[in-house]
Amino acid sequence: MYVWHFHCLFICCFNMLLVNLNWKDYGSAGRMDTNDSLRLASLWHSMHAISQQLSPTTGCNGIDLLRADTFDLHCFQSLTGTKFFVICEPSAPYMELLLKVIYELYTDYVLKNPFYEMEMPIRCELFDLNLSQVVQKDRVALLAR
Amino acid sequence: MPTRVLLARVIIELFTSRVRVTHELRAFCSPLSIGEETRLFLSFRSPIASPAMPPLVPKSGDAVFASVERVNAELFTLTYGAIVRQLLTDLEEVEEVNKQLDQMGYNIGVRLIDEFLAKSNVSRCVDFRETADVIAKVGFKMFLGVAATVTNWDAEGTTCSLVLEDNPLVDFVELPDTCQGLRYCNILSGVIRGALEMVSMKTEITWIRDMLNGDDAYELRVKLLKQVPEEYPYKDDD
Repeated sequence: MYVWHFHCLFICCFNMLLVNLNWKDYGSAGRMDTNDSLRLASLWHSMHAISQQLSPTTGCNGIDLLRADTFDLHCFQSLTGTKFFVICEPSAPYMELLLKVIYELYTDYVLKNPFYEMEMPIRCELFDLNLSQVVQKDRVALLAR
Repeated sequence: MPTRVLLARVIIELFTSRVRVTHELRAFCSPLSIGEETRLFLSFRSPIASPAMPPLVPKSGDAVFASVERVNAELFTLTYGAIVRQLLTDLEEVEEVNKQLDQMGYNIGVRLIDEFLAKSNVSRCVDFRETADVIAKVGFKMFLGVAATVTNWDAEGTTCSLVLEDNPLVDFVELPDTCQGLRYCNILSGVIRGALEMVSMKTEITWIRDMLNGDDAYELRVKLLKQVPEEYPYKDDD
């Protein structure tokens, strides 16, 4: 039975020059405070942009995966420019699928909420609830998808 | 090449000053003096899907329509009718109502595009022709239950018509004489404009034919004004 320990789970919304960060932490090891997460997100935003120019392959849309000794960072960018990334244990499986599921949750519970203003921090209870469910309880379902 | 080396250097500086990790540097940037603690592994894959996840196949309009939750069509029609009636009562001017409907559509469109992209798995469209096809076949089908047809392309391929034979918004509706000039379905033009703007296309959308005014179908003229890709606040001084 595969046990997932996430260090952190981050969700970032970017629009043009505006960096707007929303993040959730499901980790058991090492918590990040707001400042650290803001630092990481702005770092990541710049790196993602730079990497598009840096890439030796053509048609690159930015960094998908950053592999380190102690963590992996998976990133998903929608066609509208919103970036979602997750930091997890090295070689944790199905992270890309998780990111896709998170994107669907975002479109359902955040964008369809009429009181959510675009580009603002996400304060939607339903979104948080469903996100925790996907991350913590639906592990088996996700593995089976 | 020098720019790449510089950029790679910047990345390493940024990263290692904040996060204590050790990675391996891919040597496409040759001689780079790095401390022994900093080895950075950057893997660039081509846009083909990685083996870890099966490639996402774009779904057809019918398949997406079948998979999303649907609502009673009459409820939808009656709700929209109530909105238009209320706007007419509040604003009294037909042109104001048209503008307001367009604005409402715009607000819907900027949010709807993400849902559309998430549920239908379409990949980036190569040109505007493909965009128009996707809107007509998948988009309209997914949200309204009726697919539109794309016709009347102009010479440059930047303007086309979307023709709707059947429109769920206007079931049971007849326009009275006091509302001549009202574009009842103007919300649709706003939706398309808002959605395309979020994928970096500025468009202009006008109604050509309207069944409520006696024509035989609904025709929207979609014109691509320009593509505005995302700008990043740095310059490449090569």
